[in-house]
Amino acid sequence: MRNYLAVAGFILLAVVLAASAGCRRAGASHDDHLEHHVPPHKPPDLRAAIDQIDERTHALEHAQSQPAAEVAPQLRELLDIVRWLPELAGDSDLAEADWNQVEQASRQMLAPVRRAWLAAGRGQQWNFASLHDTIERGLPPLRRIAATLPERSTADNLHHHHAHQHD
Amino acid sequence: MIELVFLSGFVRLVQALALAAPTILVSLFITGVIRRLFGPEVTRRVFGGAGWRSLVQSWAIGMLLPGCSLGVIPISRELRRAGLTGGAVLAFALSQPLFDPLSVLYGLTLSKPLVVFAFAGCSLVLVMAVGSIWDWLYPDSAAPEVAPPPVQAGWPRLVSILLVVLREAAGPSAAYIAIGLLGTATLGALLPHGALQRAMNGGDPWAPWTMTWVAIPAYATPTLAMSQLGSMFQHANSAGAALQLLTLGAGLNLGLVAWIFAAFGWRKGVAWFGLLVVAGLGMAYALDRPLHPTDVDPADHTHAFDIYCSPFHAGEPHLGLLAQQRIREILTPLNVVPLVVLGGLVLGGAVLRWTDPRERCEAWLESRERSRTASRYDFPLPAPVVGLVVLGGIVSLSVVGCYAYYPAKGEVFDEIRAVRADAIVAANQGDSRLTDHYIAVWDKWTRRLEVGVFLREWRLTPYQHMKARILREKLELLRHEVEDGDREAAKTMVRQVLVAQDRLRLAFE
Repeated sequence: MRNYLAVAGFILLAVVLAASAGCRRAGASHDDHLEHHVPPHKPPDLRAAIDQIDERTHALEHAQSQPAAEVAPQLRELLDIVRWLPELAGDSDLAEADWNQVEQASRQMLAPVRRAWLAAGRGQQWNFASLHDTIERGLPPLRRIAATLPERSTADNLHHHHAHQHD
Repeated sequence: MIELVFLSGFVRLVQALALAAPTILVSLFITGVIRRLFGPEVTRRVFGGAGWRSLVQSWAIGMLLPGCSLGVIPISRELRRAGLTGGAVLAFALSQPLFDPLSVLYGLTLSKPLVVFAFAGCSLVLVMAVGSIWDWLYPDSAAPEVAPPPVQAGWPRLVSILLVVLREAAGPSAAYIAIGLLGTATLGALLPHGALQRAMNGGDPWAPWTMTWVAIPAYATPTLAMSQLGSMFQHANSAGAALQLLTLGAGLNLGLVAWIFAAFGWRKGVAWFGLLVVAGLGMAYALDRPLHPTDVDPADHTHAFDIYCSPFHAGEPHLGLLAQQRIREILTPLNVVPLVVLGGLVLGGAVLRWTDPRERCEAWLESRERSRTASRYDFPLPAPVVGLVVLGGIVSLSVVGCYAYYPAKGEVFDEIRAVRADAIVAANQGDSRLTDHYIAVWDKWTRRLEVGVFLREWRLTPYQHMKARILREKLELLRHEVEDGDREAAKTMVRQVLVAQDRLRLAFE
């Protein structure tokens, strides 16, 4: 009998805990929007991504004299853009062979950018030369591939911040 | 308000029952096989006897057999009757519902399939740690019962298995299964619509804790849990919460916990539960950061746990009609067949228990002559051999079943064509509920496409995986635009989704 009372007590406790956990969360988030956050620095397509990688790499050349901690956020954004290359290329009509090249280039560029970002995040000296060389080697084939793609229709570009209200 | 609470609970109850019926049926059959064909001695040998070996063997057998946390109840009761140690029974009870071949294959569609193997390893460590400590604390936890006498080979043996199935279907196992189902229904009745959408965000230190208390009363089949894991990793939600979802959401429910307390006593039950929660939470917090996906853009919510909350918004009109509609959507012909069979077994079992409470049918079968001469082509096989063949057959069937569940790409694209039309019509009409439903089905077909291709061609290119991932992300965004009520944005998103779908088809041609 005591076992069954324990079972009943446990069930009640578990349901109350579960409900209170859920309701606490529901109360906390009732008034605001649910967001599918697309970072503002995410380029709309492959072409824009390649341009941004180029521009940001040149900007980093001038930022070498700045304290490492200040450069870390710029390196993080560059890392994100390089990481997004396969996804942006996948969201186009590129054939598999071309996409594979983009994916491979992204992987090759990721390593030095990640090393630089980690070093800068720790406040250490980061290696611009290695980063610059890898990106300079990786960008020309990417440009050739991107040139085969048609211009993206602006009508199909959604705003970058999807937010929606839930009851 | 009362109508909302009652109908929410009822819809979630029907949903959970429809999900559980096939695995409960398989588990009842396995229970009959263990009782009548294996017997206690062979069962103990198959499950490794005692000590750490029994924990590992119970975990391994649990992983191979298809099942769920409700279906595991009758099997666990049978293992206890056979005299397995408490730790081994609990190891089996916790691990059998976690994975099956279907769900492991589903895991291939995650952004990092390695996570599935990491989670399987974590579950082994958890089961071993909790089981070993528990067996050390309570070395006398085995409680073997007197084995039933063997039954003559042939039809009497088959009938004796059916009688076990019938009695379990309407016996204590049914009561514990009902408690498990009521737990998930109560959760659906008490949690407002979408209450858990932000509770599991990556970086939220409360996420594993909250998941622990939601996952225990919640019921999830291994495939449902795996799809929820997929959604969590797609949204970069808390990895620790994902681990708790798998170990406690798929592995436990209130019915199973109720049986453990009733079978082992409240002290041992509390000790086991405390060990499980502490070890599980410790592991979840330890792995939360290392397993957090760094290559995914985080969303601040997930829809993966909407299934545990009320299906209706507060203040929604015509709740009765909406509930009917929901139940019609749940009770597809494929779901109704196992439900009807299960209902028949429960009814038959109730009649049997009422008309023959002293098990005279079983006694009559057991009293039949067992040493009759076999004919030339009809020689009796030892019961354990038949039992092992049956269990091996169930495992093989579940592997073969994967090919049916994950069909060839041609069939998948036919299915997608049908659901695409429904989803686009619903999105263009701004019907958020229907869009939500059809997009979930569409999303599932993209995952089944990936696994189906992998099963048949033994390879899935990163290009194909990327095309499927992009389509899923666009489907998710379309769902949000329709929820927002932004018609123009929804139309733009519909165009993007259709383009992504065409690209997916081309990638798989």
